[in-house]
Amino acid sequence: MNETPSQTVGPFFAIGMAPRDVPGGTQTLAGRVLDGAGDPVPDAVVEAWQDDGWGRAHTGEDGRWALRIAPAEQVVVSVFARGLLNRVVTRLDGAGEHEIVLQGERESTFYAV
Amino acid sequence: MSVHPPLDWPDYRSTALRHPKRPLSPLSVPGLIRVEERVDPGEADLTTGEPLGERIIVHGRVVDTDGRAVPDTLIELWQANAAGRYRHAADQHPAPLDPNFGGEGRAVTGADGSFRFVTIKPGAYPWGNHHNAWRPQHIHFSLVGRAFTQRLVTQMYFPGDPLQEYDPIFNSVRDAAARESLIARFDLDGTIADRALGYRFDMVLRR
Repeated sequence: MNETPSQTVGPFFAIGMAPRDVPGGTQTLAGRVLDGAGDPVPDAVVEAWQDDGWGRAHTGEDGRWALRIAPAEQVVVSVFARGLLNRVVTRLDGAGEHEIVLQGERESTFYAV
Repeated sequence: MSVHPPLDWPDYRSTALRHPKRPLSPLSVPGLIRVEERVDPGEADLTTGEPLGERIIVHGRVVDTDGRAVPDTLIELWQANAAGRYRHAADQHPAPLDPNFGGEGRAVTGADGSFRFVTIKPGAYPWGNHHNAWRPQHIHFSLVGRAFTQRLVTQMYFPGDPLQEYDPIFNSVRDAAARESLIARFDLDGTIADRALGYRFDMVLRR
């Protein structure tokens, strides 16, 4: 059987995809999501997956997001947004501040899943 | 060939500055997770406030590409009301909000991968993508299965909707059969007699 195809989360995902921390998270993973013009992406979801579970945060008007995670050297995150027809997946180096750049010279490294 | 839409899809204008241009790198992803999702069964009924609109049942199964049930999948859905308006500050469509409709529901699939929501049929609405652009009636679905690879966000459409032909989001799925798989099937057996019409929507996650 074929997989069901992905579609964008659209601009109104906050109605259904509530933010949550990784269960038992003690450290803050945070940052900004930027587009190909260097502008903040105010309607994205950043979702962090770890061994014991997952959490997610919504970006604000300034593209900023933050959630609590379990300590880890690297965290795999998915980004969903209006204008993204499928998630993109990147890897962040543990707790702290990170920029996720969707496109352009400073484009983040994205991974095929 | 992947059934998923390309990230670069000019017909959907918002993809222009948001699609990565460099090739994707390989990644070994996290393994299975075990998270007990606690969801109140009442969260699968979006009609408890007696909202306006055509009452419907949306039910189906979540399986993997081998056809095996994916139990314990968290399903979150969200949608516009019958007038085509979302309960969201950014929705400026001049159609009325329904005080009795929030538009969000949640459920966890059973041992056989099954799920069932009671809701109302959402309305179509215009969006600014191009001149006179209208989204076909649709319901957003987010699925979290047992593994990182079993993560899907998609949209369910309704049979016979003439707007699908013009919708760049629906048509971003290039494979015709895959695109059709996003359309629920009318299901007379899934109705509640004299109360709600039934639609069947099965979803397939990766193994």
